[in-house]
Amino acid sequence: MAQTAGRTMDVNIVAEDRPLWSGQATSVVVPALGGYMGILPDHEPVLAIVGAGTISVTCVDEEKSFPVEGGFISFEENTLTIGVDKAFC
Amino acid sequence: MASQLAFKSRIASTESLEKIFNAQEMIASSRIAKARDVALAAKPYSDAIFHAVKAMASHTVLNHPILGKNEKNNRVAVLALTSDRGMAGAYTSSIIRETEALLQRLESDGKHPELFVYGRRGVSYYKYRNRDVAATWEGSTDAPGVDIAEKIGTALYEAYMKPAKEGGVSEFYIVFTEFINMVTQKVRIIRMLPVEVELVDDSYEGHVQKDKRSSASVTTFGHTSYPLYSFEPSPEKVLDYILPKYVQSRIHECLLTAAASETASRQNAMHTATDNARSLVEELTRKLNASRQASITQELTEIIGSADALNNEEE
Repeated sequence: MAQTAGRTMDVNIVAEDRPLWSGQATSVVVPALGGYMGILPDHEPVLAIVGAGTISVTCVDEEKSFPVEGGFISFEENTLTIGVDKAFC
Repeated sequence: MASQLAFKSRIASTESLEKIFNAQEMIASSRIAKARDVALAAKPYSDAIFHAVKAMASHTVLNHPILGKNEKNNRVAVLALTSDRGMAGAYTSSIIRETEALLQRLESDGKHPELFVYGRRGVSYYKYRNRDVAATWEGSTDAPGVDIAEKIGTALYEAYMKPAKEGGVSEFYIVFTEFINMVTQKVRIIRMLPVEVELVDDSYEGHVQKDKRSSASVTTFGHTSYPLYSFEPSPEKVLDYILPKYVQSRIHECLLTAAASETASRQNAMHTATDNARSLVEELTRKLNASRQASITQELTEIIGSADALNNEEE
């Protein structure tokens, strides 16, 4: 964890009809199909399906959460893209 | 020459029509900006899903019915995107013309096209002609949301995934109007399904049979420009989720482009109609003046003539 301390990644959360949020985050937890999945900066490239639950984004100075019904995440080159089926906010 | 009264009433009615056209034009032009914003807002999601499909294509051996079915089936689906309302010039009629041409081409290739229609104008066109339509959607061509894209996507995906003997289709074409700019909108035919996943050096020739018929293709680079990927929970599950979503997102994109084109062609049509109404009013006013002048001249001639006659009698 030491090498990831202080590091951030780009996070883009997009719903089907509009972008929801984008910014820098230190960690993100998503409700993947097999259970909650934590993503830290410099994670290995991954493409995962997201089930119903809450996405929690930890930024440097704040925490955000997005309830979702489903979607997918893709992490690549320190950029996390979350595609959300239905947004509630 | 028609009476002055007739001219006056024609001028009045043309003027009120001109007001309606002008209002429609202004409504359309205010909606274009909105339609463009909506289309731009949906772009990040479609980019993300496109990227995901690309990543999948370059890291796994794709084997999914959506990428090509092995069974022989000559039923194909054609979706035509028309408008709900008129007053949009040739928007719907050019879509219908292209659809008919495509249907004929497909039939001459020995295929059995099934028609899906989106938009009230197109639906009533085919209903009036008693044509078989597999499914229709109407009521939201002005501002297509995700829900309508989902409905259409699901219906066509189901039709595609069904086996041939249960009435499934093997290909799916979409006919829509592409928004090039405010004055130019072009009807395009895209093959949505099966999705083509191809290497970038492959030529497009193979599957483009006619100049206007291009494919919804995912282009990937032959070399490994993507790092190693892991797929959660499994590549198959991810594929099962991503590919239908990709199709739905592509349909949504087409719906949004079509909506922008519809608004733009409505604005153009209404602009021309306003101009025509104006020149008609001008022409009618000129005729009205001429007819008034003619009647004044006639009255004068009559008065002078009768005065002359009276003078002659006195002498």
